[in-house]
Amino acid sequence: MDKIANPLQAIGELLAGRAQPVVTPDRLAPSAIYDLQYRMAVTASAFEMHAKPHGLNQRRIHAARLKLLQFVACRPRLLAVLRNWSQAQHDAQLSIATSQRLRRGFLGDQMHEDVVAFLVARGILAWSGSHVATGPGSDWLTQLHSATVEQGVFAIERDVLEKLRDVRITNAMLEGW
Amino acid sequence: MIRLERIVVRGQSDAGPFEGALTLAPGLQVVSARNSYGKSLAVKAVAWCLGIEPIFGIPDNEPTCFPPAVREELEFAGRQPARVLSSECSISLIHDDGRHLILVRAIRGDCKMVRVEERAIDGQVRRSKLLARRETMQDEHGGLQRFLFEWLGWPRQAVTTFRGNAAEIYLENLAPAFYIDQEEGWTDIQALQIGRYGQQQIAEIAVEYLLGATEAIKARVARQQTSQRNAYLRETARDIAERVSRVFLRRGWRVEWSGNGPLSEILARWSSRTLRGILADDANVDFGAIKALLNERVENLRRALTSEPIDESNATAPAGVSQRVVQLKQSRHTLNSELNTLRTQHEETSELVESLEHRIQSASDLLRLKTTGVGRLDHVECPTCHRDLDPSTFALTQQSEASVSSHIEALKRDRDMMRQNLESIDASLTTTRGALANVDLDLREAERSLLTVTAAVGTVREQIAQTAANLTAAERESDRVAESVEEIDELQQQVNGWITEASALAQIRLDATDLAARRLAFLSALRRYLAALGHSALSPENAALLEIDEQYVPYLNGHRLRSLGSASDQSRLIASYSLALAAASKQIRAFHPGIVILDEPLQQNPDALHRQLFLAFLSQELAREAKFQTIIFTWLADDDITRLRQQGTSVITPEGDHFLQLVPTESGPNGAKQ
Repeated sequence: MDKIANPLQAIGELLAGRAQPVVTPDRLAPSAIYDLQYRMAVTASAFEMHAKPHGLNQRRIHAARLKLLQFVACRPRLLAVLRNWSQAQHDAQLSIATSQRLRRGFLGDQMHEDVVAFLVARGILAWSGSHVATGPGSDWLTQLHSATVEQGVFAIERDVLEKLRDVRITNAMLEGW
Repeated sequence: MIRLERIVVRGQSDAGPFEGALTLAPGLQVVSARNSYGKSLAVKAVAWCLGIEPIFGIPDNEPTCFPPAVREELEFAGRQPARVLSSECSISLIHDDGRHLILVRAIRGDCKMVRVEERAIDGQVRRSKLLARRETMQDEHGGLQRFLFEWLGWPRQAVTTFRGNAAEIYLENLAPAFYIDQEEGWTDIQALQIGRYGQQQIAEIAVEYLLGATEAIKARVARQQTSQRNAYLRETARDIAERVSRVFLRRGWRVEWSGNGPLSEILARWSSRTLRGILADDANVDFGAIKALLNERVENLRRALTSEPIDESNATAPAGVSQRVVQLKQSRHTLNSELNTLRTQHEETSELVESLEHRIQSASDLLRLKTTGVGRLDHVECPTCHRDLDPSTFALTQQSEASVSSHIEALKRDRDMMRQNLESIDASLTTTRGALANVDLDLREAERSLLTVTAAVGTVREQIAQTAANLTAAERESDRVAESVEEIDELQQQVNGWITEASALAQIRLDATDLAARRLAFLSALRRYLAALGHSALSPENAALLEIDEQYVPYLNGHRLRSLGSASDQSRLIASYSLALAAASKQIRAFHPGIVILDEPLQQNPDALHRQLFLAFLSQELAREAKFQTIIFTWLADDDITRLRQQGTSVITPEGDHFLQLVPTESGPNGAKQ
């Protein structure tokens, strides 16, 4: 490989003249990952597959756990990262190192909070302390999950959520999110 | 052509011998008997004696196409049910040239064999037993179909299966065009055609065979074989190209030798350049020059080692050898670093491709949800603040279908780009690994040289050791080049072999000259029969617009005829098709047996118009004066029978309640009244 004597100068030259930015409007389509419908569908599946019974006829899940589950479900390659992190829990140093790739995007994922707030406002979910629980209109969430299963959509996401059942997510991992 | 003269079903029961017989004359024969008389039993007997039961979708030699009356138990008028002890059926055929043939096959009994009685024109009789199904066409001496084709004077015709194996046309492939049974035969043109044999385009081939277009069939089969050969050659080309690329890349030559594209393009590309030529042009690798240079070097070193004077004051040999070892180690280090970088890039790019695949799948799923409307929320007002609970209030967006589609397209472009990157990284990995292997080899040699030179005592011995090591290295390099040349020449031989095969394929002639007139005869006969049978979509004005496509499917003015007209036209179309094939084949003296069997054409549509149209057809000259035998099994009212007989149509009305009757002990069997 040819080595560039002065990389900064080379970059400067490129930016000055030869590397003109090209804007292709059709490539600027926002990612589907930021679509409300998509996130609601994944959140519904995460809730339906991982929420536990609470009280007489409610189900609930730790808010941070729900956020982590849907975050990894949308990004299947992070499953292995989370698994490594979970297995490295006994070693604090290793734990920090293995969770770096996950934390980087996770902390900036504000959209999930907005989706949960929206579903709470619609009465589909409800806050129960640090948990998110079923609201009066939670049937909609169940129906949405069933519809995705019936139509065979988001199979990859559901597969990740299924595999996440075997990954031990401790409170220590969820603290500080 | 031949005609059916007699159909007989007979056997032994607890109650005594039983028999049913039907005698047929040439031309149009309408057999009228009420339902459950046993007409279909007679129809099935024809197929059974010809050994073509696979058209009913049943295993070979399994008489389940027959009703239990001839297999297990039958009832005679006024008697208890009688157990069938044995049963068989027979058909008598008469050839146009006067030869007779009787085929007898057991129904309950050994049904694997068919008893054959041939009667020559001079009256000489020859009896034999032939295998109904096993090796029926292949067995020259024992196969029934082999015998029948020979007796009929029909040629055997090779065809190809979808797996690329050789097969041939069997009688059961031809029968669906002239044998229309009650249960399934009326559902489509050639509805009983055999699909499980896997013969390619067999329905078209059957029509062409019956029309005598054997040249056209040969051309069709050649086209199929060409197509299969083409696919094979393209696969071979990709395989050879991959091997060439691997060999090139391993030696660090980034030269394009593609095996992709249509066969003609690959052929043109590979024929225009040789592997050595492309290496010389695109990678500046000239084996002749390299070999000459290496030979010269070997000669110089050999001379230096054997005859040239040695400078005793020259003490640079150990330093030179050591320097080479250092350089090679540096090279190895650099290449290892590059290899590690490439491996990481490969791993990350693969992960990225996989991630993009996931994103594409998720976005496609989302698009599906959006088009079906699943997961969409209606607008709702907040019960406390009365604000509209719109997603935008929560900084959320719902993308449009167009936006998601654009995103999918963008993701696909990114994925394709990443795949290209991956291919490029793969190529770099191969090149780097090849270079590293060479450097490792050189390094081992250099280290051995260093060991020898440093062990040598005195400058003279040091120089001799260095020269000897250099000579060995040069000779090994020369060997390596020779190996490369040999490998490339071997690949070139494979390329040349491929070119020869592909060129031969390109020269195969695929045209047929015997088809146009035969198709035309069939088409004009089809027009006549469709009009005579009263197909409602066809009128004198548009009859000229009727066409048959490459698959012999009738089209009218660009629309498939099957989709035109009324539902009851379907059976008229199927009858017309079979009758037109027989008529055309007779006209052009082709390979049709000359028999068309239509079982219960009137039961296909109970409406009065259909009945009226069919009866009108039976009284027409086209039906009555046909030069082939048409046997129609149906039930007609007495008025219809009288009218048809008055118009000259032959209507057979068998006596008795059932086709099978106990054989009277004193008098002969019950006959049929015409």
